Amino acid sequence: MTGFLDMYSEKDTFLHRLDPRVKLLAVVLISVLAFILAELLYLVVLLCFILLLLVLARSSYGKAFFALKFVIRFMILITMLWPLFDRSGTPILFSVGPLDITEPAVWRGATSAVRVGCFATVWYILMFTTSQRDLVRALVKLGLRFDYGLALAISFRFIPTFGLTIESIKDAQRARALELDKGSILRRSRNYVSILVPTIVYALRTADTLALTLQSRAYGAFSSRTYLREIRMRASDYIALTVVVLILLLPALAKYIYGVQI
Amino acid sequence: MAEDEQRDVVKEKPRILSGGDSKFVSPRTVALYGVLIALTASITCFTVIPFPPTRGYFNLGEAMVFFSAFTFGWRAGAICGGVGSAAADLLIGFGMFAPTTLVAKGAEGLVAGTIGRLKGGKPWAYALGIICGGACMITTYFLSEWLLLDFGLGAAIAEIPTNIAQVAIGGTVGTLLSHYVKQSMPSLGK
Repeated sequence: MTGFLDMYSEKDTFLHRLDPRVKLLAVVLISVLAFILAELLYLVVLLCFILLLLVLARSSYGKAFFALKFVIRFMILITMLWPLFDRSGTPILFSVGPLDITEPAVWRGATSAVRVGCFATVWYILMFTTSQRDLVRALVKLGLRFDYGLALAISFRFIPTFGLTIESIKDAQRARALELDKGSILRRSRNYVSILVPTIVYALRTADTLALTLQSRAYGAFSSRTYLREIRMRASDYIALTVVVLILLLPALAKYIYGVQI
Repeated sequence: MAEDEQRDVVKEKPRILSGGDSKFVSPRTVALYGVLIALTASITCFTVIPFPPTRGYFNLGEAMVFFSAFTFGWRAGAICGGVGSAAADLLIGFGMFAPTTLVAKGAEGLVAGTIGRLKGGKPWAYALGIICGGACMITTYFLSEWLLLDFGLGAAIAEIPTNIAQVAIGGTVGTLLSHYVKQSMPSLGK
């Protein structure tokens, strides 16, 4: 397994209390903003703003460290690879064989890396502060059909269960002398078949039981369903919505109407 | 008993996309899709094959997309492959890839499910389905990383060999899974 199964941690901050729909919109708008901005300085400011929000979300250190490790690895990779494929610009810093590393290309690489950093970290605000239940409910409120929302909710509930199933079947097969870390990569993946087949058969039987459960609880009897906990926009949610929209709108206006270089 | 119900799951035509008069997807389809999405996501998270050159980058989520597509058809392949892989991306912290993954893996499942089941699932159809589906997936990832996420041409090209290997291995394992699971649950996929 590569990391945590759920980035969410239960806290009581303003980001946790915010309506999940506003948070989803914020992720989209800030991504668009990162796409619009072209100057390195402003992108760094945006990245700092996102990191500040992450600090305010009081995410646990373990999860934040795990998340940022991926982001930093990506950013380094992009900064290093960009100048190799972009050889325009005049001041040549140095040449390695046929490759010329130019100064503007290095700057463009850094800009792109920071932009990708923004794209990546902005999702963590959503994932650190929104429970899966709220996420599904927000999607249903935004127009996803509730039967598909139900399928999604079921799947979120079963991901850890099936994860445990995979682990225990893996142990059982290892005890029967299955080797998972020897041989070529094709050989290794081929060996995983004997773990995945029992898992899938078990899961399909679960689906059977689940269908009976849904039917016995009168799924589909009414054309609309009710929830125990409704999500509603409060005054603070509208304020946050306005702020988020302004954060995108002001730089976009400055750039496209007034022609400011940002 | 269990086999009989499974057959219904497969034979029942999901009414939602065909524009039928029913307002809901049947409970069996909801349960089946929910479970397949969960399987795709958990297999993506839990079966990272330790292989030194790729630093544990490799996983078998691809196999599950092909399995859903070959066993349950293009609709299951598209929905379960796309949503399941995107959910896995969100959960393990690759949120920025989630929209791309939704489209890429969804297209892969759709194409593989359509082509792979031609003529009742002959071996050549499976192979063609894997190749076409994989091509869709790789192209989507490449274009999105290059133009949309702005990784730069270099980093986007660097991803392609890994993706090709992943499709090759995922396709092989997915076909094997489909074969063996149909063997142990004979009512599936008729």
